[in-house]
Amino acid sequence: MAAETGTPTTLTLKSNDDELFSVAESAAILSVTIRNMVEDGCAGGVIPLDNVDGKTLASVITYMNGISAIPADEEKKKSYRDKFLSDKDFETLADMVLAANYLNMSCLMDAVSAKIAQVMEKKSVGWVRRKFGIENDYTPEEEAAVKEEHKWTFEGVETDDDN
Amino acid sequence: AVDPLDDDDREDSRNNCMIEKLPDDILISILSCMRIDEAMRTSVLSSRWRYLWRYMDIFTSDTLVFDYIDNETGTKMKRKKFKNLVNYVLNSYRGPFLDTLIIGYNKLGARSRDVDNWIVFAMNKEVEDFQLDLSNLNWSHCGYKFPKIEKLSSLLHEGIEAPFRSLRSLILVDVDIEDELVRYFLESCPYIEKLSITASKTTKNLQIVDSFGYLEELEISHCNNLQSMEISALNLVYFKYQGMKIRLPFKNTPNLSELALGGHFCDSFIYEPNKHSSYSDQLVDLVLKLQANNDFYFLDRTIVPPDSAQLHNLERLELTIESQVGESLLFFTSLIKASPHLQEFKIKVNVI
Repeated sequence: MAAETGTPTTLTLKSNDDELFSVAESAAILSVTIRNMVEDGCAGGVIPLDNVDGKTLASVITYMNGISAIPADEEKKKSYRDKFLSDKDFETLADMVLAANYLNMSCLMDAVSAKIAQVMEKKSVGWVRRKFGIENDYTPEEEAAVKEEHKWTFEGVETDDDN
Repeated sequence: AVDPLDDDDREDSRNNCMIEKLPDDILISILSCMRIDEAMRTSVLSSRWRYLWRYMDIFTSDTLVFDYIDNETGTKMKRKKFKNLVNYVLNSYRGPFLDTLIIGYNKLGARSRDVDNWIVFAMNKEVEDFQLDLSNLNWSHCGYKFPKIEKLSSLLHEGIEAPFRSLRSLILVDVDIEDELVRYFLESCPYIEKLSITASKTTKNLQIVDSFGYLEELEISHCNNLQSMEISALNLVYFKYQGMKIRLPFKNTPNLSELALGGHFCDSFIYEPNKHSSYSDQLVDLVLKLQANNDFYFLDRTIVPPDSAQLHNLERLELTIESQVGESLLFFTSLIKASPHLQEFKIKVNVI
């Protein structure tokens, strides 16, 4: 996991399903939540992260290590983020954005939000509902009224012929 | 490798409720990454999504930028869609003040109630930086006229002292603005720092008198009906002028040090340096753009003018020259010789 050489301070993070992870402090403090704990001296033992499960935390730590290994070069960081997110499915992205929000990691939060936004753009309403598990609670009349209100935004967008 | 998000055969139920478990503030941060019309469309998804888009950052942001050409892809938005988009955002905007409003729109025809409304919106939000660019890519003039001050005053919200009093920067491209209105901005906007007018057909006799001492940047370009200009601005540093040869406009500009010239006036600067010696010595930065289709072109560039330019303080010189194949550029060394303190020299030759 974290590089052992040259990075003396290692933190231990605990997921809400009791998995333990060790990570270099320099990478972990990308999370403002963790950084505050370190600064307040609460990082001596194990840092419990009650809102993140082990699978997601493992992913976030991979990201922390990857991005902190890149020197200050926004372009390279961006391409790392793109590559990092490229093989994630919806479920993982949703878990990731929740974790990024809880951990207060704005760079990951922004990147995942943008990725989800990008997937939703230009897609039909039916497709987005299906893919994201959104239940349509409008009556047909209500739905038609909302659609009419924003009619101009539907120009040049996929239609739901199969709905 | 298959992109997991585009794989339509994947079992959709796996993703059940995946986005529904996210709190509203995260959904809003996702919406904030979308173009406004895309975000508004999500209101059809379900009642939870109905009004979420209204909480996007853009509706309280202190900077609004609309460009009908997508910066990344270069694709152009349809006029009607673009107008709708701007109108919706401005109508739903909740911030009390707006610092910056930038609109780039491919206008057709002179009249437009939409554009009038955008200007009135900028005025009533007490905008500081306002940029309105109505130019076509092919530079055909649309002829839109900036509303008269009487009309603006009549639409001013209660409690605001005067139209555009907070203005710091005004940039108009392909917007016809009356000289009287330019004078209004200079006399009534105490914070104005930057004024830029490009391709205004109604610009004829300009009096640039800076009453407040903040004006630092001025551009007057491609205003082809311009007959005269007089600049009296104590703290003006930068001036860009591209256009007709006019009488020297500099009446009181002791701090002018950066000059960018194009058109006939630029030719005069190069070929008749004695006419410009009253101010050329104070220049530190100079950008000259020479076009081929003008009267001076037929002068032989190999002959150095009888008097040489006075550029004793010049540190940076940038030349853009349209030239025929094989034509000597030696002529321009006279500019370098006239600049003993030159540190940076750029030359760009467009062969025609």
